Amino acid sequence: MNVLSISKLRKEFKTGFTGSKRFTAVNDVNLSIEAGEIYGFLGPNGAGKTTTLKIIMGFLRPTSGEVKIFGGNAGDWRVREKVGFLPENPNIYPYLTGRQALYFIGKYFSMSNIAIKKKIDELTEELGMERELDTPIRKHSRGMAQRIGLAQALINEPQLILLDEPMNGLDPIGRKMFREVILRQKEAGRTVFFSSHILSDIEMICTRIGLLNKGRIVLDKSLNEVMKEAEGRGLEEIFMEKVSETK
Amino acid sequence: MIKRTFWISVNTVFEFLKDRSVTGFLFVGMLFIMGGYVVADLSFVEKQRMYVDTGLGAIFIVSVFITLLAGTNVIDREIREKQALCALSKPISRTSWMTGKLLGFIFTVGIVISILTTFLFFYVKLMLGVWIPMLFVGGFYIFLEMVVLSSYIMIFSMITTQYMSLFFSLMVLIIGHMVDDLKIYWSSGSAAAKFVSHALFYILPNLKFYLSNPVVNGKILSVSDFTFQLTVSALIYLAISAILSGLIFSRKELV
Repeated sequence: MNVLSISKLRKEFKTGFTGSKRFTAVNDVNLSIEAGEIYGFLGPNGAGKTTTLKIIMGFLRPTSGEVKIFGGNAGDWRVREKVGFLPENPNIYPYLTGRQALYFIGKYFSMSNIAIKKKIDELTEELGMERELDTPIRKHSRGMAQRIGLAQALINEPQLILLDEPMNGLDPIGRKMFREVILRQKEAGRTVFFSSHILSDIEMICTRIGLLNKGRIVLDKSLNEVMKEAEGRGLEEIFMEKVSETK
Repeated sequence: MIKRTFWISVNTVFEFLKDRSVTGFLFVGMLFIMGGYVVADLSFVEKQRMYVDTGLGAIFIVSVFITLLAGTNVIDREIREKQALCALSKPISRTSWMTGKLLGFIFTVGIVISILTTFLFFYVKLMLGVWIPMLFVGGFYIFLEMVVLSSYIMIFSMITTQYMSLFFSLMVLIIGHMVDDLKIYWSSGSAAAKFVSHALFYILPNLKFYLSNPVVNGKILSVSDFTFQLTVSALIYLAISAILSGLIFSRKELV
């Protein structure tokens, strides 16, 4: 079953003083993500990864094409009931403590107080947030803010988890923890779609990868297939090769 | 959906109450109210009237500052600093989010006005030995005026930048208190002046109705009927604003 399907997606932005020029950020992207996959969405800076994620979340409207989540239109807020999203460099209510922020987010999903408390306790332990959960988010380190960001994306036990550069600002211990959390989501039967340019993380946890360059998908295969075709070369080499091919 | 809108507004109240500038404005408002002592002492006019007018004036000024400065920032900052992405990635429609922010902001302004009015109420009792319960009606009128102003601010926030919406909102406040004067151009002046004055007269609210001093000083008869009418009209402004800004926001791209 397709959890997420993207067909013929195109996004143009108006540029220039009069808005007469056009910049194509995403061009003819087709993807379909199956339930239980961990999909690594790779690409160099400016490739269009965040734009694609923003279209999936309904923050941007596509110029043309279609995005479906669980068969529903991505622009419809109801489909987000089963979705968790971590934005790039999350800025989550700096005036609240981590606990208060997670409480409010639980309430946005109409969760009961007991369910929210239970989930916060679980996530606190899983993400190692005990020490700073009750301090204001504005005082948190980058890594801690990222953990709160991931916690808010997982609070509703989503079936589809979308993560935009989740490893940003994390130290090696934090990255290892994030990888383990993502793998546990897969074990629980959930689907994870995450963008990154840290190839080692992708190599360690993904079942399938997609490489976006200049707004176009230049590779979309299972990791096993990619590594088989690579004949001993690393993912980095393949990445460089594919990116230079489309220049 | 109503529950989610409620939680958005509670979050917005938290946001403002944790903001030190709101506490600062409260403190300044209390100082202004206490300044009524100096004004009353220097004046030949009835002391009670001076305390009331200075106090209500102070509450009005503080409310206007908070409404204009914080109101033009409430949506803009959240979008600019990408805090909105977190809430809008949840099952919340943009209209609900917008309505929640608007209601939360108005509730915060209401809390500030209530605190300052209560302070004035006890201050007058302390200085003059009289209780003036009508001060609370006066405070409510200021609140209604801020509701109307916030409704305009929300729409401006959707169509222009923070500074331009601050400018437009200030214009609504100023011209809104002089709306009756626009009638001068109805019978004289050019066709363009007639058109503009008619348009402004019908588009802008007549904020003179919301002046709190006449109510407290007993210059308005049948206060309850008048208050009811003003409350209904403020609620209509609020509803129109929530619908319009929600519609505009649902078309907006969050880059």
